[in-house]
Formats: sequence, C-alpha cells, structure tokens
Amino acid sequence: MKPRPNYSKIIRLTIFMFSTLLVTVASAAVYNYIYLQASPLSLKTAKVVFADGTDAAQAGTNIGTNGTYVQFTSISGWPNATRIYENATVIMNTDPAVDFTCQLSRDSWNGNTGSIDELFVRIYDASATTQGTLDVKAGNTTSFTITHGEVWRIEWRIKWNANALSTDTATVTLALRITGEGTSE
Amino acid sequence: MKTTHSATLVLSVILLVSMSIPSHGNVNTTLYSQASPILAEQAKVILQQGTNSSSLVYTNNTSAVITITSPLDQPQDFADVLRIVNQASNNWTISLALYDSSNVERLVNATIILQNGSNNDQITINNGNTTQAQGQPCDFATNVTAHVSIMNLQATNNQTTSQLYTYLKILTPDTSTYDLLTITFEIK
Repeated sequence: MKPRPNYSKIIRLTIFMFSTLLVTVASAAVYNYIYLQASPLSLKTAKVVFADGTDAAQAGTNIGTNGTYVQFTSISGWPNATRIYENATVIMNTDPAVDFTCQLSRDSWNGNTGSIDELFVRIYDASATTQGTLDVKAGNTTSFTITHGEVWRIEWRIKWNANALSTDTATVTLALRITGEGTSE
Repeated sequence: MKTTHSATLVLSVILLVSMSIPSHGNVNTTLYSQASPILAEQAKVILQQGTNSSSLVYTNNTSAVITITSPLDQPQDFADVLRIVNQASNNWTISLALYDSSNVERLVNATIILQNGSNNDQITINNGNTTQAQGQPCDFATNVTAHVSIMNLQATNNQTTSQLYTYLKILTPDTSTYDLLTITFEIK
C-alpha cells in the first residue's frame, strides 16, 4: 500500500521556507540617496602664474599652457662650484586687487641627491628683497604673500660636491600652493 | 531631578556653542615646477697653479688656496699666483669679489688683479683697510688663460697670516647666470 503524503508537514515546511525568504529580504540594506550638484564646473584663468625669467634660456625654462606649470631642463653645475640662475622664472599675481598667500615646498626629490651639497630656491620681490627661501635638500617649506599686480623672480642656486661625477643627475619637483585663489570670483 | 535638568542645560549650551563655530575650509590651488634633469657637468673654466706662489688647486680644479709670503721692507709684485683657463667655446666675463677676511690690518698694500690682456684691479687693500672689495667684470674669451696677480704687496709684520676669502664670478654675458669658484689668499 502506497503511503499517504503528510500534507500537514508539507504545508508547515512551505510556510517555514517562505518565512526564511522574508527574513532574508528584510535583512537587506536600506539605501537613501541624497544628491550634490556642482553646476556649472567652470574653468577660470589662473591669477598666479609662471612666466619666463631673464635666465630662461640658460635654465631651459619651459612654461606650460596657461602658466600653471614650469619645467627647467638645463639646470646644471660644476663640482665644488656654485651655479646661480638669478632669474630662472617669475611668478606673477595678475589679480588687480587681491594678494595671495603662497607656500612653496618640495614635492619629490630623486636621483644622485647625495652628490648635491646645496640646492636653494629663493623668491625675490620687485624690490629685490628675499621673500622666501626653500632649502630643497632639507625639504623645508617657505611661505610668502605675493602682492597684487606684482612680478617676482625665482632664483635657483646649486652646488654639486667635489666628488660629483659628470654622470650624476637629479630631479626635483616643487609644489606652489596658493591659498584663496578662486574664492572671490 | 534638579541635577538632571542642570546637566541637560549644560549639554545644550555646549552643543549650541560648538554648532555656532563656523567650519570653513580654505580653497587652495597647487602649481608645480620641475627641474629635470639637474646635471653635474665637467667644469668649463678651471684653475691652475701659477709660478709665483704655492697654490693648492683642489679636485676638479674649481677651488684653490694661494699661499704667498709678503715682504716687509718694500712692496713686491707677484704676477702669476694663479691661472684661470677657459676650456670652453663660451665667452664669459670674470671678476673677483671679497666675501670675508681676517688679519687684514697688517697689510700695508695689496692689489689683486686679473690679467687678461689688460690689468683689471679687483680687490685693493690700503693701510689695513679694504678700499675695493669687488672688481669690474672683464671679458674672458674662449680658450684664453687669465692670470691672477698680487701687486704692491707689503705687510707690517710676519707674526700672523692674513686671509682673503674671495669668489671668482664667471658670468654668462647678458644674463644673470653665473658660477662662483672659491679662491682663498693666505698671505704670510
């Protein structure tokens, strides 16, 4: 004789499985979306920019598009002698009214850096007064406030040590952080 | 009950005060500059020993110490105490500048000259005083050797040594790019 199915048990099992499914669904995360919109994202002309200095040809100064980047491809020196580029590049504050606080620091530094005795970057204002000195070797930071409408020159000074070889090279990247540009436009 | 109310009041005040502090950030823009590659070059202008002094030229020929004995009774000229050799196809201008000194008081006279076809007075000491600390730049053409001379040298005594610390400035014409080589004069 064929056994009769236990309908009661099947129904209880089915209800239990549905309950499990419900619990699983109910355990899922609940999300709320809130939105931030920036519109329009506009492009403004930079107020503080780099430009060629009078020693640009000697230092191999290349100013990037919009004056927001500068590369020097010919900075060099002789062993145990100090090479100075008094005017490798200039920074200009083109704003007619606002002075900007700037902070110059070493971003990266690599190569035969142990063969370099001194590497200084100095900022001079329009009246030839030093406004900041970055000791690249020490990795310090220098701050200054560039006056509106002024053009300041940047000097590079390097001294390779007496044992430096003519195959020695180094690369340094500096970051110039300008505070406040863009807040009053 | 009273304590609970007080605590609630204090907490409310703290919350209100902290909420009233403005939380504003700065807007910063960062520009980058890169020097790559920075090269160590072989010196294009080098120093060599002269015939009228005991000079010590250091490794790479980019710095030197000149040792010379000063007469006491009458001035004497030393025409060739150091040589400056232009090994490059570049034209430069060269000049000397005194940046420090010691025991200069004992020197009656000393005139340091760059000889490069003509005499160019660079540093002058008179009766123990520095009357000229820096010279005018003079032309320094390719493959030329210039001479450093000390003229009219005379001291009052030989008890001490006078030191003159100078830079030889080698300037690329019509620029403000230059090299500084250290030359020290030790006058006994």
